[in-house]
Amino acid sequence: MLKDFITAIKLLKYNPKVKSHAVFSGIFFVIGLFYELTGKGDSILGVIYLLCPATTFWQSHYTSCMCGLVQSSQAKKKMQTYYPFLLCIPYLLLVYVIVFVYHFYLAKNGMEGFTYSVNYGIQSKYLFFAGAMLGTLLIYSVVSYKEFVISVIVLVVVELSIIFLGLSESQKLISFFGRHFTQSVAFSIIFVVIGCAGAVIMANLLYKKDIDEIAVKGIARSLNK
Amino acid sequence: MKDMLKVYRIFCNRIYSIVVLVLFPALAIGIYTMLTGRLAEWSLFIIAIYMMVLGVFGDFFCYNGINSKDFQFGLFRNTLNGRKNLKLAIVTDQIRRLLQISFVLLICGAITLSSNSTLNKCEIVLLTLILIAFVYGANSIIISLLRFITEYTIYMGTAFILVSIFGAAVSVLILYRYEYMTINLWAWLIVFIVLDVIGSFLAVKMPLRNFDRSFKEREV
Repeated sequence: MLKDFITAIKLLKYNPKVKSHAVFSGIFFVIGLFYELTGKGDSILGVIYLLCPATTFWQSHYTSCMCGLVQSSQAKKKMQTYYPFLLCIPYLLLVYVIVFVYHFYLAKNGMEGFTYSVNYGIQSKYLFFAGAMLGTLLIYSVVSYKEFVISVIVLVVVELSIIFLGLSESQKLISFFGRHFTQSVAFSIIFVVIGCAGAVIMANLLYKKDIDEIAVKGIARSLNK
Repeated sequence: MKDMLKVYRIFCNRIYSIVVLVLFPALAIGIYTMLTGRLAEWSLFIIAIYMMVLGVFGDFFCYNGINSKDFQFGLFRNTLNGRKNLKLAIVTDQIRRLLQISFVLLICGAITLSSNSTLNKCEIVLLTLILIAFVYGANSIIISLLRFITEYTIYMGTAFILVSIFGAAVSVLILYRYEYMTINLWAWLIVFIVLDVIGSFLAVKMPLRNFDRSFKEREV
């Protein structure tokens, strides 16, 4: 397992855009952290940006699959179904645990300017939608490389509804989540587990399908020498 | 004209043209008819942001990566008219962008004019013109930057940030105008026209510069 993990990290080096991936992963992580610390449950965007580095791991391994050498090697299947998960899932779970602990702490200790019950509802709502967002993005990251247009349409519909509900300040919604804190935490964890399992299953189901041209069009054009 | 369309279609295929030029603008007007009357000046602003997002994300499907140093121009480099045709394609895209934004926002402005809005008619016309100038300028600048990025996850993440920065700028303008009455709209129209000129210049000049650079030997 550890050996495979080291191999997965080593393989990152060979993708064509490793530098820009690394730089932008760092930038997105900082932006995510900024949103997370300043929003304190108001905005769901922090989670999206904290997840972005994981999708760049994915991109790194999938773009390496365009190489003929990888296509003809025995590691072809592993490059799509095993190595990306070794990096992404631990990273995402780590991020999720940090976000979870932070918002749990905010829920228990309260925030300035909010009554205890409203704050409780806001944090409960945030945890629920953060789990849903993470689960959806995990499955989307895999499917988008095989069916780009369809997956983007589905993602836009699902994500927009999650973002709008997550940003909503409706008192009904907040009081509903406030009353069901335990259930929303449980559903959040279930969403994450479904996301991880769904991503692994989809990767195994779709690995024989060619990588969608549109998803890697820019890179393919720049490499076609 | 025929050449313009021919060259433009090299980058923009049929499905892209139908979706981005017809389907989404029609959807925008549909959304606007639902919003108008409820949100007053903010409804025009929402459509402006919608058009900005459409322009930015639509560009990924046609001109993605054209400014990046590894971009291969293929047959454009092998013909005598390559540079001219590339320029024509990008200029056509810019004209298309301006016409599309103007068309959608003018229709939305006309709908507001015909409805019982609290604003006076001159104000609505001016606000529409400002938003057209702003969306076109902001769109051109954002896509000039995003055309350097070839990976779509990074493209999407950066696009969200840039769109939200420009969106926040125009929302502050509208807030100051209608909440505090401290902003002169004519001055801002001139500022946004300058933004349009800079945006158009960047959008056309950068790919051509990259095209010229593609003939040079790369430094190791």
